[in-house]
Amino acid sequence: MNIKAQTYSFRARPKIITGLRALESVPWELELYDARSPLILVGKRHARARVTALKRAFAHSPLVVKHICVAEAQFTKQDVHLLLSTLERKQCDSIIAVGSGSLHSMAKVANALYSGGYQLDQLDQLSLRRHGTLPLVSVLTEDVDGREASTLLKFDEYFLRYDQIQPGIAVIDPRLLGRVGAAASSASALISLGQLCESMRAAELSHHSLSWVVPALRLLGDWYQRPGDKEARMAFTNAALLSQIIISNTHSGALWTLSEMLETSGLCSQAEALSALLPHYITMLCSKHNRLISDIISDVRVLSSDSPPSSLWKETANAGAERTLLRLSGKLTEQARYPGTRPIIESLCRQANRLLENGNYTEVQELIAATASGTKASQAWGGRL
Amino acid sequence: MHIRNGFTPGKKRWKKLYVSCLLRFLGRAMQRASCIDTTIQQEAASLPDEFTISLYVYHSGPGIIMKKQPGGRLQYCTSSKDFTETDLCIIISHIEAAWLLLTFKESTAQAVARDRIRIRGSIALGSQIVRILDRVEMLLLPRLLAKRAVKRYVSPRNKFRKRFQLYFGTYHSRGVR
Repeated sequence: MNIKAQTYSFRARPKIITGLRALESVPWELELYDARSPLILVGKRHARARVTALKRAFAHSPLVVKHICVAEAQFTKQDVHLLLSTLERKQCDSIIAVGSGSLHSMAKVANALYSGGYQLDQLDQLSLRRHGTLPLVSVLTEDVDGREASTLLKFDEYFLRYDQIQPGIAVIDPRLLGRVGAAASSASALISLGQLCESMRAAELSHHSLSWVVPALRLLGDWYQRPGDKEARMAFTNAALLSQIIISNTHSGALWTLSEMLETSGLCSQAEALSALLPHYITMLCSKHNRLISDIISDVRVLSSDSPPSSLWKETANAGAERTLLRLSGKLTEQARYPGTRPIIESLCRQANRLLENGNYTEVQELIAATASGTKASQAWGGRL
Repeated sequence: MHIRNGFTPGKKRWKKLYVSCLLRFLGRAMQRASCIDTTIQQEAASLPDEFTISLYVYHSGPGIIMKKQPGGRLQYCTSSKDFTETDLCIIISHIEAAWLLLTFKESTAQAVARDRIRIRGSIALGSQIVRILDRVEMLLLPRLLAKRAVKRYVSPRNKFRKRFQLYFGTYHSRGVR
């Protein structure tokens, strides 16, 4: 046995508190950080209802909430300055962010700058290791893709990753889950599926990743037919968090690199890019790691004896791993209802394929070729290239 | 973005009152049960004498403090309110968790598994106290409720006689100051 090859690390952060009355545990969790004076950052949408829910949830707790910041969906530099000055004036010892993705980004930016005493233009030169940061609680509500609770920070031209800015606690409470349509919910599930497929590529490297892929995949397959339901949204939010933890322990592969590039280019959202790339990627993945993927899918099927009757695992009981995953991605794409960006992505891939034709073939090129040709990756490899 | 004033966390008075009453009743019942039930006496006998235990809702109660007396007896202490000063603290995370536990919607084992109960102190002694608590609930409650409140229901010997003694004794007993 090669001991050296079995050495790996796995970072399992944040702590996830999920389910009804999850919000009530926040004061109890903050006590571990000795934090009693949080600053609450809440989105403008449903602000009043959410503040009332927080007030009720924190009943009989020692928390002292001096100020609440009500923010717009898109934040500006002025907003960050205002947040920083409030943190400084009120001597807050923790931050609770309630809302959508951009709000969590704002909390991360403010936390990083405040803790290190930095200015906004120094965002890419932070040395947080020496200073530490305030405990950050992320209460996930709507449009969740898991990045809210990650080490990733996206603001203006900055696209950064710091371990210290990751929230310590992520809370998913059905009372605070906002109303999101089936399309948005499916898009979030599609991102999680993309992350899971990426991590399956590298699952041979870490057994921890493998053990997290199974429950996340199960959550997606159990609820994929009813994306608008509250239970489904809870399941997808949980899956998003789990897949985010797994992907943060995996190097970016072809699927993630391409979809992020397409998103950064402004051509389409990441979920849209994934909807076009995923079928080809799944085919590639299954042709290379067929045994591993089949083992994962059969593990999920064994665990799904108590799943809803309409779950993917019962419907595709006799189908292979590839067909099962393709069906899941196809159904989620159909529900996400993307308005025809797929041909644009495919034509872009065709152009990229032509440019890369004489280079060394990597996984990214292989995926581009597969998407461009619209055929199976193995055929593209043997035929076109 | 605009800044608005914060809030004082709300109060759930009825739930707090219910939890407070039930914890007091449980405290007195544990005191009385340690006199009449040999299983509880055996469990309590291994605790050190003058050992104090608190069972309370984070962060300031309601809660109870019990004290181990020689001979495997447990004494319910009424005067002390400082739950953190005891040798062993069993802390319920919030009033809603206490409500679930004391309305027997959730068993003690489930509450521990869901991180709603934490023990500060010796885990072995904490488990003993939880076993005593389960035994008291089995003596006090009808089978249907007790099955929901404990992990594994074992019908106690002379259940009805002990139950009568327990209810009668609990009603008339007083804790020590």
